[in-house]
Amino acid sequence: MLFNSIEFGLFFLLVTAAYYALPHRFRWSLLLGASCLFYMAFVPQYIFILFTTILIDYVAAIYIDRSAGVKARCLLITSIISTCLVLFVFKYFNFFAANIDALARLMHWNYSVAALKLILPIGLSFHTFQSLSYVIEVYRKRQKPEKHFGIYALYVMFYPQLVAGPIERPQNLLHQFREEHPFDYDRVKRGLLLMAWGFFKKLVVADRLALYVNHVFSNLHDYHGVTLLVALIFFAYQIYCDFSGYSDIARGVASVMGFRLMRNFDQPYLSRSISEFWRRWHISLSTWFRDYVYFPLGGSRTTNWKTCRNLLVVFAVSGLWHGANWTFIVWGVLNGLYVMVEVMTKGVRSRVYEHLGVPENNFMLTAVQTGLTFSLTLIAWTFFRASTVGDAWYILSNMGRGLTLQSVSDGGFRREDYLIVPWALLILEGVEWGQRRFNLVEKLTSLSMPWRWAAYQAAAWLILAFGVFNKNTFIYFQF
Amino acid sequence: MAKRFLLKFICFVLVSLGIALGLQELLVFGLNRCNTSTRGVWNKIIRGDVNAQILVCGSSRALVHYDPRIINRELGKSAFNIGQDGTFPDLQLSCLKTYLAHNRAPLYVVLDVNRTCFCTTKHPYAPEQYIPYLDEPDLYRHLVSLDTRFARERKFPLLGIIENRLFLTAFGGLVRPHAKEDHFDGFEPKDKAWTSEFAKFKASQPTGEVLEIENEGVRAFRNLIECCLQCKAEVVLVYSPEYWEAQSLTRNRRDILAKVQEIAAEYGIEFWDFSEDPICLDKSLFYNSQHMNRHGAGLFSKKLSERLKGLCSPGALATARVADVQPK
Repeated sequence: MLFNSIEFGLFFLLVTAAYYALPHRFRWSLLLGASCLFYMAFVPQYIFILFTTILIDYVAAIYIDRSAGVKARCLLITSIISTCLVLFVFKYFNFFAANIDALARLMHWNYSVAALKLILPIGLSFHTFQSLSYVIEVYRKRQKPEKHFGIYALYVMFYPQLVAGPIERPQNLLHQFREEHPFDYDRVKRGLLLMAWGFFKKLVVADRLALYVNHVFSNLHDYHGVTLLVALIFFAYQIYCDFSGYSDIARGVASVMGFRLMRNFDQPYLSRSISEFWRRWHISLSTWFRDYVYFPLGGSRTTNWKTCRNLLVVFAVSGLWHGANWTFIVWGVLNGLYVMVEVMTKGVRSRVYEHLGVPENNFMLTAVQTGLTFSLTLIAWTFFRASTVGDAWYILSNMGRGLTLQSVSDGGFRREDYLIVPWALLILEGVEWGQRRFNLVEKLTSLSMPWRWAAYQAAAWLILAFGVFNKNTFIYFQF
Repeated sequence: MAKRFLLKFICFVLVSLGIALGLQELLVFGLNRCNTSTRGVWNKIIRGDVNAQILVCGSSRALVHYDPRIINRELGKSAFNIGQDGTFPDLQLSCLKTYLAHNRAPLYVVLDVNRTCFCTTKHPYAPEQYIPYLDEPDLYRHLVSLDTRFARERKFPLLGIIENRLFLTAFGGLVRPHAKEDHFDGFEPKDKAWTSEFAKFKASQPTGEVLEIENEGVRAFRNLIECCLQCKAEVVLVYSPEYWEAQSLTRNRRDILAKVQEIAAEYGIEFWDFSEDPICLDKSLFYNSQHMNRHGAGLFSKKLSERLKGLCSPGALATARVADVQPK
């Protein structure tokens, strides 16, 4: 069940109405049932896989809490391995098998592994990481194990964030299922506004840009020069609006029912450096890797060489988390290299600015840094979006060939879309800027009723009139 | 507090419904006012402004291959192209019936045949091209049998406009009905160079493919011919140029051509096969294996007109016309 479907609209209305109609003690079971239904709308039988990982981590956490020392560590490792094993079989087995096959052919060995014909359970990487964070936090004694199986299952399966995050921490989410959330008019209104903003990002911006991007990327060799560059910039906005749109809808849905989910994006394309970009992009995943991989490896409180190694490991694993393909690994490693260079040149850059008398907050410097960061991100996105490393290389090497924007009308991107896209992007940037500078939501909700309703109607009709309603899945569902 | 919210929510929905009804009327009016592009072609047909003497009918190959302006210039007879993107004979028949319901019957029908002329439509391609013409009984009946979405889009035209992203087109029809034209008497010339589509097809199907001769497809094809004959039009089946390298990749191409030949003989109508014409050897005249670009279409339309001259001469007409619409 996609957020951008009529089915979800009805589902949301019914679940929310029932949620507020039921007494608090029954609400968890309603949400759990609704979450199961939501998940089963994709591939019903995969609920058993999810149930298995939930059961393993639920039991493991209780035993980890009761144990100490080596025993607790062994239990933690067992839990992590068994949870990751599911992820490996469904997501990575075929990738590793294909690479071992290729290596064997190269070495003239007579060896082959049969590929598994499995469909990747939707959102597997997300709920696997959410489960892992729970057992690790219990092991670190920062979270008490949840004794109520239903509540724990709901923590993993909570439908707004089940398939594409944000990847929550138990300290933030788990206790909220025990708290009573009475109907709060303002909170519900803000939740609905956040959902509307998410729908705008997804339906008006991301799905419209997708028409252009998908056509160019599936007919790469017909295009060159500016067309490729435009497709790449469009992809940068597509993926941002697709994923942050999903996160906004998820946070909005949760907020309507009284839950607070963490913010996953903070205008990442305004970052002045790659490390800042990663503090503002998919925050729940970045902080997950920081807390459970980077810090345990030693973080930056070690020698320069080890810091660089840690960064590369974290980004390579992050790339692999996104997908079982070399393109994702190259994307991850490339980002790791960017951050490595940034860390290593930090002192030199500070000295240069000091020498030139340029303050850190200088407008020109900020603009150059933001532009450079965006350009580096674009190069990395090339690998993320391309089907093969060869395709990515084709884009990068042909981007400078030609200044004419070729027509891409065959992909469903119509003449009028060229008119809508700039306006949609302008609204996107304008609203985000306005929200940052003036808190637009506050201003909107404080308007008198006729103006407020006019604004709500305008927003609703803007989405309906210029949205693309072809039930496009969210990009991050595949991860 | 929840009650207050619910009341406001219901009021908001009611206001939205009111706006929706108003917009629906306005936007459908806008779509009907469009005078250019695909919608302009349809509006001309529905308004009964075409009444061509020579009618070209078929799929996207018809749409981009036959230039009625050249035919008109060469033969001195009005011509119009009602080729529809992504259609098979079953849907082409519905489009032809819709045309005939509003316009005078043509004297000649050039029916473009291709390798898929015995296939049937499974999912209507580019459904937006049929909005807002769902009140046309022949078209609607067939479309709704293929996809039930057309039923709700007929009932709620605004839904059709939203689902098919026609908001701006409809608005454009209101304020600027004469936008830049890209269709000329129904013909859509394509200014495109050779793309990678064929290379991709070859890579995915190195030994080619077999296109099923469906019984339902054969029936629809016959119905299409019979519909033309019933209105006393002279029918010519034309296989327009197809890039030579692609021809061998339809493994049952001979069977398809033989079937067309057989049906043409049954009805006593002409079948002109241009797939061995020298045009087929020149890659620069195509943008993919099945479709010619503007230059290729121009050359072909000229060649076709030359042959049509023979058919349209009074003597030829008398010998060729069939008295009965039933197969011999």
